[in-house]
Amino acid sequence: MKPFTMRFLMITFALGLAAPCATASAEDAVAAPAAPAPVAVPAREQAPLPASAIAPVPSPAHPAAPIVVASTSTSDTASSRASTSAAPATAAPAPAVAAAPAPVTPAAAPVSAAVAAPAPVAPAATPPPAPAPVATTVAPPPAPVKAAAPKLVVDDFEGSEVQNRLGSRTNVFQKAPSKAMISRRDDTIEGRRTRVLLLRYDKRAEGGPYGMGGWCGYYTLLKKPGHLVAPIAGADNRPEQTEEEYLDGSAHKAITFWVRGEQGGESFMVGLADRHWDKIGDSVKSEVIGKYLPAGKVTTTWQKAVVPLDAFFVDYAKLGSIAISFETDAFPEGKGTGTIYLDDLALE
Amino acid sequence: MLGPVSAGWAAPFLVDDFEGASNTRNGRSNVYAQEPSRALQMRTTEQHHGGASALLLKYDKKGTGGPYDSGGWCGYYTQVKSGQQYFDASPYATMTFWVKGAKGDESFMVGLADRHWDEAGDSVKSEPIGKYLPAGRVTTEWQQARVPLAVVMVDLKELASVAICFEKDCFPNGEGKGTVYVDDLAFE
Repeated sequence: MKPFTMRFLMITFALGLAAPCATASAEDAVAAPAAPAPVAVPAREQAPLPASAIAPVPSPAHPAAPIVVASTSTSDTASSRASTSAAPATAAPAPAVAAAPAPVTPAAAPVSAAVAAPAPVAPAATPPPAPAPVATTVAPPPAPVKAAAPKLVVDDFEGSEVQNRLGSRTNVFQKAPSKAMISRRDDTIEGRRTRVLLLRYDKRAEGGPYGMGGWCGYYTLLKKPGHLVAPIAGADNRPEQTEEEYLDGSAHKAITFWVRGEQGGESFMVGLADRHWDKIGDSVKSEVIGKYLPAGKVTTTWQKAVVPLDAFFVDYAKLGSIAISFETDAFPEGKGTGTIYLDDLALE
Repeated sequence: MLGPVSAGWAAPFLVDDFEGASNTRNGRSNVYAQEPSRALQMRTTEQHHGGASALLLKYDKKGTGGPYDSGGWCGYYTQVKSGQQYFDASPYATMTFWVKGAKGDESFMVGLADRHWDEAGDSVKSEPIGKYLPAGRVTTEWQQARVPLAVVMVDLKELASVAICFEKDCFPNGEGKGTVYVDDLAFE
């Protein structure tokens, strides 16, 4: 049985709630999203910004508003990516990424950057036919029709390596002796050239906290960080931090992404954290990924994973992050190494 | 000449012998520091391993104050990327350099940043340097540090920088100050 404390620590790393650990240490708890430690980046002169300071800033290549495409379209086309990634970062941070469209009125959704909002469903506004004069009963008004949620692309891995398409932070998490790394690679999915995420892992079974080998994985935040509000003249001279904004995923049905393995047979679980688990520093895990793949396991060819949100008993209206977790239970002997590739992580 | 060989089979690649103005990749080198911690780098001819000069690093890593009250951070970096052209370190198995301390028992970690960590503004750290030294610690004598590249999981095909990091975990109380000398940084 896994100690709760371990879980707590794990996602503390995953979600950046940890006290600022020094850095991504190969030996210590690495990768911390909140890690303030340094590395030398030329543009940042002598004092490189900590990742936590970088992440909340919307990149010019990533408009703060999420990219939304029609749910019926599985081809997240290059053109749509190009147009969105080329969009200048003009605006103030978008309201909440949340914004799943209201039933029947998708156009009213506060996602101004929607590329292709689904056509409104014929709503209650369409009056039922007038009853025939001889009718003795009156047809009830049609039940409200809930609009299909538009596909929300969390990350297509075409842009920044430290921010997803929601403008939120993304990175690996790891606790020694386990470790993970990410990079990008060019690949082809269903004939479409694309940039994909490379995720390499080395999950150990021994050593580290409780002798369980530590942990490792990848996370991408769905929530928006709070931002500083300038103090009012004459008031307390300290800026205030606003609340984090969680993603409303209640109109979505599944987490989807494309995946393939370097060798085939790689394994992991998907984690989903709502506000509660985000605060605790953990996430709820799915079953092993094979269950959600057409072939029943990761292979060397691309497959689309569809992980129903029902697999996670969380508050879908306040989602904090998605994780790819190389859990002990994902491997027969509690350990495993390998490389997987991911693309087009989305909520559908 | 580097060929398509597996790790450890390429001829050694000298990153910096600290004799000239820049490293062999023409990448920038400098200290980084977040107050209240600080660091200073100089070339010194008083201590060197071969050649005529070496890198002198003076550090003062604090334990409190600064962001998150963790004392800030400090260290030294040298870029191995040229512009946006990252360095392919995959043919190599080890990073080597010579090191000695002014008093002995100085400590630091080695950091490696690939493209991702370069963009994140961070690096993946080794264990404290003593693990990679014959004496098990920094002494006042020159020793060759040999840090297996496998200890840090980064994309060696796209290496951006190498760092000498005075991390809090290097020191018993999370803080320490001292002077180390470094020479002949290379990949083997």
